[in-house]
Amino acid sequence: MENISIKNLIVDFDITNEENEIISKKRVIDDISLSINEGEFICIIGKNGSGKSTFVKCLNALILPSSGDVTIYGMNTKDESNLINIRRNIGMAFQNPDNQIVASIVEEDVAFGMENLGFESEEMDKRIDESLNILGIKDSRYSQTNKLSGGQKQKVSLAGILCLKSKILVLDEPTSMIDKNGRIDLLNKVYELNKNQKITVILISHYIEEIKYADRVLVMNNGKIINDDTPKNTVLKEEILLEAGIELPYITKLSKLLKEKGKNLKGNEFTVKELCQFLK
Amino acid sequence: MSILEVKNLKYQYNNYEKTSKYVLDDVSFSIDEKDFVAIIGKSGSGKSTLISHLNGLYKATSGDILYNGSSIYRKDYNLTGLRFKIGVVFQYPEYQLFSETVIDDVAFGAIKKGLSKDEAYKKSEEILKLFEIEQLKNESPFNLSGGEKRKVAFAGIFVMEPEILIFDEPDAGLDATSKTNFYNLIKKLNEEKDTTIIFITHNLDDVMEYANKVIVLNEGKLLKIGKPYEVLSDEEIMKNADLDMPYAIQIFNDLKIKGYNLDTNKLKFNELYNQMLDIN
Repeated sequence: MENISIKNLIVDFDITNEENEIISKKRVIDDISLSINEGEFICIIGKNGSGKSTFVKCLNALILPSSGDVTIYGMNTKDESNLINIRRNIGMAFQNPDNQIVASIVEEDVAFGMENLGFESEEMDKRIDESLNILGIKDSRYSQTNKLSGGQKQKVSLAGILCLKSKILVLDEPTSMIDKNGRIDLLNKVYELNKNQKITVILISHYIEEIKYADRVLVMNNGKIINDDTPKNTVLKEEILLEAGIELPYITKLSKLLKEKGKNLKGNEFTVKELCQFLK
Repeated sequence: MSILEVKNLKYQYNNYEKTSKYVLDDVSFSIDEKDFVAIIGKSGSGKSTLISHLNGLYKATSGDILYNGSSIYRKDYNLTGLRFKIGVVFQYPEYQLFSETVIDDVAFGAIKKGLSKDEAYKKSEEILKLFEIEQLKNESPFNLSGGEKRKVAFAGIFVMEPEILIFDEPDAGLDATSKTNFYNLIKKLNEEKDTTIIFITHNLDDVMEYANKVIVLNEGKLLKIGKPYEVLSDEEIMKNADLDMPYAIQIFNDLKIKGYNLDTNKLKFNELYNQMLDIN
């Protein structure tokens, strides 16, 4: 079932002078049309400034189209009366968790979104427990948020979003502050949610290795989507990757070079096991 | 000949009680001229504290550091002179830029070192050329992108031609291409100018690729020092330091199970590729 539909989306930013007069416009999103189905895991990659963050902000009406339409479960983001319902359906986590933590105690911070939407306190209690449990930070429920590490803060802000039980989860580089093991851990949790609860996930990442979690990889460049394909197919498209300034993951790079010399590989392997199986 | 020798180094913060634990606890090792050394270990293991000792910024509670055979803790030791020979680049060095133009910023250290203005600017231009940013020389450093600022900050250190260069997570926040460029650059300095390199990192694939010696710290103690393969293939050590093995070693292990024995001294990306190519 289609839950996100985007038609000819264009976003222009105004460039203003010192007197706040608009002197020109800059096209940030350049005619994107796309539809995303319920339960899909989408990964968006691309250079800094390619329009990734702007694009996802259009989904929950933080940014409105200059022209074109964004429709979430049939609700157009341009219609202000849809705003609350759209935002209930889309939970969004941004890069820097320090900008998103509002309360001094973890449980209060996690509850903030639910309080705004008028949840009963028993229900809140239950959901806080659940979401902290999913992320493996149950022990920190009564901790002070300012004593947490960057990675823990990122998990707390994510917990606050999970307990809203949104059907769509948008993550804008959610693992930027976490070391490699913490990153894999968090993404595995998100992956489970996607598979077990059919939550649609849209992940912006600049770690190319993370695309392996996705059903579809969108590559963005200059406000356009220049690729919409599976991870395995995406890494084979040399011109696209070059254009978007993306380097291949270690294993894939190795596999590709070996394939060019005639080894029995596809050139799109992601794991050590896949790579080494050409030697039976 | 060893250029730097660390002997039984212990350090604890003065303002704590006598019972406080040592941030560095009896650390001893030696570094030879032209070594390319990686320091690894989880957060809080003492990595940054250790490198702050190497040019005398921190004074050890006990123990000694010898540079070219003489103790830097001797009463009449010229510490200012030492700091021109051992350059330390801390995390996010781009926040330390302050001059009005790029070239002024780069030349600053060289002038302080005692070079004439002409010489300093000539050398600075050479370095900017080496870094491929000579076209930016008259720009304000504050108008540059993050990656460019980082290069300017590095250039300002390289221009002093230190014998030892120390980096604290030099690649944090750099995209893949800028990262590769950076490592290639210090590799060139290491190979062509015999500069000794010491760097802290969390990325073990980079350690395999560039280092010839690895130091593992854990809770202030030196867990192991040795060649990359020797250290990073040690399962117990890696578990202790909460690190995943680099891909090269994972591939090595997988192939070993299949009955192929690769040369442990040739596990850099291109070497590994060539070894795998030779397997029939």
